[in-house]
Amino acid sequence: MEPFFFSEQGRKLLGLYHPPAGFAKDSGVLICPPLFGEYMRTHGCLRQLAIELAALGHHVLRFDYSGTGDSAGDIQDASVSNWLEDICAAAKELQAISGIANVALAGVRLGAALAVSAASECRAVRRVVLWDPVDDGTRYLQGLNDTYEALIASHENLTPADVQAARNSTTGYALTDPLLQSIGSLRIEEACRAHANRLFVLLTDKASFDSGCWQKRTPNCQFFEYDCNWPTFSESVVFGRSLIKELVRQV
Amino acid sequence: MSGVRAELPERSVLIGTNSVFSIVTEPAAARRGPGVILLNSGLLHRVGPSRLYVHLGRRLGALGFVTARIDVSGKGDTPRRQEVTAEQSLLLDYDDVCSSLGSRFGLQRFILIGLCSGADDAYAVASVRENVAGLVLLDGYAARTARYYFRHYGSRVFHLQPWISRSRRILQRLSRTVRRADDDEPDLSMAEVRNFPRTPEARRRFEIISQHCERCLCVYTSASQTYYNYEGQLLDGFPTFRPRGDVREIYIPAAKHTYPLAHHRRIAIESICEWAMDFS
Repeated sequence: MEPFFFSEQGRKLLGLYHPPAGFAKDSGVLICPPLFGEYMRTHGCLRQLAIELAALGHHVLRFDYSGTGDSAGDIQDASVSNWLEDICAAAKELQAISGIANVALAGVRLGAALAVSAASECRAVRRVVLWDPVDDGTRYLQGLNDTYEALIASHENLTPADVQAARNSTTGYALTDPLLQSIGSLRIEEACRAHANRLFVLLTDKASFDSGCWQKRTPNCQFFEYDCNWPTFSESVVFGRSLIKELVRQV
Repeated sequence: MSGVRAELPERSVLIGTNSVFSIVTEPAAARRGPGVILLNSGLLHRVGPSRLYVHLGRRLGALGFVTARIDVSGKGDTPRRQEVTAEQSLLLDYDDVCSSLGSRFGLQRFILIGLCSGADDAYAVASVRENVAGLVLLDGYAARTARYYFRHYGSRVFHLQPWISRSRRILQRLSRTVRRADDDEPDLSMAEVRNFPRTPEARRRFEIISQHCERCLCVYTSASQTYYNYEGQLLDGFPTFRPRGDVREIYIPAAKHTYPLAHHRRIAIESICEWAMDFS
């Protein structure tokens, strides 16, 4: 693995390149991580996914969006449009490092929504794999907010001042109104339709699968039984070997 | 959140034979004091819970400290070391990082910062490495004292809320037991989960640390309530822990273990930075 920083419009992003082990295929995979607590919970899983894909000969790049993880900036300066640009910049970076022509995007949760939304802007993208994509930004934020409120409510030691301070900091990350609005307005139905023939969706949420809405968007939709427990403030990591194997197969 | 708007130079480096992943923040202005090394919290990678380590590392960098947030072997992006014990692995990582920061920045003394298992690791390293100049233990070790027990049980006797909570917990447990007998999780306190050393061994280690470590800051949250409940308890439990400088204790009972609330993260970061500023 080779870590490095690269720039997109002056924003410094951390990239982690996994070169292919042995015979190199003419394809690369850009992993688009989820955000907030889900980012921390899936870090090890996505690292393992990258290692296994590289072992099969793929060039793989993981990265952190601007204002998140080890990339420069604060979440207060972040926006969905910046994150979409970050994905395209990372895809170009992967091409530049490896010399490959085709890139697959593999996104998780909000990262999946961003990946499919960015796919039209990134010319190199030939395949998009989504793991439990966030379908509706407003519902996603509501889920984050509900778990945050539950966290506050379950905390016996908070003073009224603490509760007030906690409520002033949306979802615990002090998200700005413009960022909340841009996440809230994310809808991916149209983007999914535009990329239906190269879209692969893996759902671990039975209710989402049973609703049938994903099967209408792509013939390549599959249910995989694994309890990811999103969204949550739980620190339990998401790391299933069988799940990783399935993702490798999809990519 | 971090309060640092200007970007500081940060480099990603792989250190030593096991490629210990580190993000090194380099101070923009004049350098100050020892180098700072942030050790992983639990299974989390170097970013820390809710980006706590990133903000802390950058704040300390802005204050003039060379700061490395690292993934120790087997965590984050650093592979596990083969054929060594966990303690040996940790020390090899630490020595490699010190050597790298030493050769690049001329640093010879270090401040170790860790949350949860990171605090345990920092404590373990400090008890065997003389180049540890400062320790920041977030929900680190402490011994239960008579005053701890008095406060612990006193608060339960005279306040209604714990009785209500306890009754509720018992009812919930009973109902779970009725629903499915094997569904119940063990009720382990943090001290039991983390395998803290026994008090005589901990005392011995603190005495060793006193000989070379100049200063120590310990921050405790609600997660420590099963073994810590008042400021000053660490030194009450270990009166022979006397570094040359100060031992500062901060208790934030409203904060949760991983600081999910932004204003508690801010308090923790500001407390650490204020403490660090006293290093010459």
